[in-house]
Parts: sequence; structure tokens; C-alpha cells
Amino acid sequence: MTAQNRELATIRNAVLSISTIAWILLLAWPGSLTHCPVTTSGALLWTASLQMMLAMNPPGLLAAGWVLMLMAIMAPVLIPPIRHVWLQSFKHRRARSIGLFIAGYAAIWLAMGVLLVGIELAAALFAPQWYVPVAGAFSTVVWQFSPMKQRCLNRGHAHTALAAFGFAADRDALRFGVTHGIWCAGSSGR
Amino acid sequence: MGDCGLAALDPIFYLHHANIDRMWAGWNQVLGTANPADATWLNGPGACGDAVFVMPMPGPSTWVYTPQQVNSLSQLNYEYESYDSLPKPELPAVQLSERLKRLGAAAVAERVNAGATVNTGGKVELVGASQEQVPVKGSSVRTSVRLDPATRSKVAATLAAPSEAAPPDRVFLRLENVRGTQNASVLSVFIDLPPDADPNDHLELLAGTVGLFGLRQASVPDGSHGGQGLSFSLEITKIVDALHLSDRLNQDSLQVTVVPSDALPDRAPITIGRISIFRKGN
Repeated sequence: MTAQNRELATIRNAVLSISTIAWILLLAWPGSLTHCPVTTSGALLWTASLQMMLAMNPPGLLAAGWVLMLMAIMAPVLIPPIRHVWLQSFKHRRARSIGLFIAGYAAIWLAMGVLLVGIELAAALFAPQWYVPVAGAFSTVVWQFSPMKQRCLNRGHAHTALAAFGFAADRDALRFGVTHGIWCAGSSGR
Repeated sequence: MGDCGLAALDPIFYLHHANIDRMWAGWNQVLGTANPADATWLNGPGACGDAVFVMPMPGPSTWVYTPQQVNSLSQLNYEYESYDSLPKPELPAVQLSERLKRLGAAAVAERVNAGATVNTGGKVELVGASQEQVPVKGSSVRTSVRLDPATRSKVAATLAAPSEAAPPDRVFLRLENVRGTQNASVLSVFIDLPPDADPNDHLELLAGTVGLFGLRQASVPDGSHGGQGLSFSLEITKIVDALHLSDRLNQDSLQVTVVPSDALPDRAPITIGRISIFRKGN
């Protein structure tokens, strides 16, 4: 194995270790949205129901669960783009550029988390009937086979050149993370 | 012949590929170089869920095959008469020894010739890069590749005092994310060519020549590689050695001149996402 391959293997092993730890934590503390709709009638029905739901599912725990799930599932698919940033950057900038790439990527997925967990909460609050998850599953299947999903997958394979010096290098690493996150979110079938 | 989707319709395509097959066989048999042995190579792209290799056969049938079924001529029913016309490059140890002599390290060169073990390393590190994308229009374009002073000094140090433990770095120029719509172009790349000089008078500064086969498909944003274009690596070790020996490596940037085989019209330029320089060593 060449020195170059050894360095690339180190990146792969570090990322896979993070993913494994996240999986262990998720398996040790599996969480799911718990909800008990308030059944009394009246104008304050949904606000009381929301308060109960937030008491049973604290936002901090929901956010922590989402981040853990991201680290477990998404970290392995970041190995090729992280290697790309590593190779494209000066040695003294590698850690900084990889950090910015991950920050941009995570920002997109955290925004997706707010959106998706919000939809899940709203569905549990206003329409806990069986057809809501069925409609969600149906739209996911349609998306999986759509040309848009393939388009996102193709664009996610693009590893473009990054500026090497100064502010432009930081900007490009962050921008690569954001665009990679967008195409990755689009191709994940959500 | 320049377009992946149409190339196989040109009769010269088979002549061209038969010649590649002959050169490959020569590479194996004359130089004794082995093909890769890892499973992803031997099983081909089909094993990874990608397209499989299919050969048309006489009649309506086809032959679906993997690289391990065509790994050497002994598996096939033909052979070549001779490989005499193929170039025979010197062995790596001889090349390194010659290079060490050029760099003024005659004692190290002698020890390498005598079979001393050399720690060739193999780490790859960015030395410099163009800051903007480079549009190639007209008959040539000249651009500046800025060097990182600390990494450039590291390269210079290995050239100034090479040893078996720290042999001189090899240096590569990369044309990254080359995009465009002109498949048939060929680009010649020169290092530190004087501004008004005729490139044909300075072939010692020629880093290499790249053909842009498949450029159009590789540039389509919704294609299977997201429109990232083509990338090429050219070894520029000899040119960098000459710059070092004439005290011209100690500068903030290297000038790179790209000369297309035919002048490119303004309406269909080729763009190079980044021109970068890498060192390979310890």
C-alpha cells in the first residue's frame, strides 16, 4: 500500500468509526415520536395537544436524535467528497477545509431535519390517521423512481475544483458542502 | 471519433483499439508489468451495478465478459508477431539514477545503481493552483499557477540535497474539470514559455498533450458524472528539475500556456476548472 493510499484509508477509517459510534448510540437509545392526542373538545384542543406533545418529545432530544441519525447514515457516503477536499487543499488547510465542507453539508441536513420533523409533528397533531404515513410512503416511492431523483444523484457525483488560497478556498469548501448536501438530500428519497 | 456516442461507428475505431491492445500486450510482455489483481478490476463495472462489457459476435448473439476473462493473450486465441516497434523505457532505478546525476548527486546515483534501497514515499500534496477557472479561446492562453511558498521550498529541498531516504520529489501538473463542447480538440501544455515565443521552438518546456475524447458528454450537467468534465495529470518532473538547476524555481508562480491543436472559436470555448501542481514524495 502506498503512503497516499494509507492516508486515504485513514480518512475512511475515521469516518466509519464516527458512523459506528453513532449507530451504537442509536441502537442503545432508540427514540420515536410519542404522542397522546387530547380528546376533550374545545377551542384550546390543539394548543393543549401541542404542549403535551412537546412535553413528551423535548425539541433538544429530537434534534440530538436527528444529528445522531445523520452521523450514522450519512457519514459513510461523505468519504469520497472528504477525500476530494483533502487532496484539493494545501496540507496546512486540509482540516479547516474539511471542517467547512462538513459545516455546509450539515447545515442543509439540519434545515431538512427542521422541515421533516416539523411535518411529522404536524401530522401526529392534526391527522394521526393511518393514511398520513401511507401518503408519505407513496410520495417517497414516486420520488425514488422520478427523473428528478436521478438528476440529484448525478449532480451529487460532481467533485468540482476548489480554490486553494485565502478566502476563496474557505468559500469554495463551504459551498461544496452546501451543494453536495442539497443533491444528497434530493437523492435520498425524502 | 471524438464523441463517445459515435466513435464506434468509425472503422478507424477498431484499428485504434487493436493498436491499444498490442501496446498493452507489449507493456505486459516486454516490460514484464502485471495487470491489477484486485477484485474490482477483475470483475469489472458490472459487479458494482454499473454497465457490463458486451462484445457483438457473428450472428445475433453477444458475449458478456469481465476483465478477468481477457486478462492476458494466453486466454485468447491470437498473438502478436513482434513488439519491436514499441518504445522500451528505462527501468525506474536507472531513470532515478540518471536524474540524480543531473541534479548533481553523483554519489547517491552510484549507490542507487548498485541497488541501494530508496524510500520513494508516495504521499501526494498540493504545491500550487490557479485561483480562477481558465477559459481556453483562440490559438493559446497563458495563465499563472500560484505556488504555496512552504510547499515549494519542500520540493526545492528534496532537489537540492537528495538521498536514498529522501529522494527528489516527482512533480505533476493537473488540468482539473476541463469542460466544453468540442470533443475533437487536443491541448498542448507548456511551462514557463516566454510570452511571445513560438511553442514549437520550446518542446523542452512541453508538459504534455491531452486529447479531449468524450469532453461533451463529461460536461453535461445531468450526465452520470454531474458535468464535472475531464481531468488529466502530466508529469513535469524534468521541467521542474531544469527550473531548479537554473535557479528559476524560487518564484511565486509558474506560467502555464495551453495551446489547442486548432484555434477555438469564442462561441465554443473550453474551460479548465483549475490548473494545479502536486508533489509526490515523502
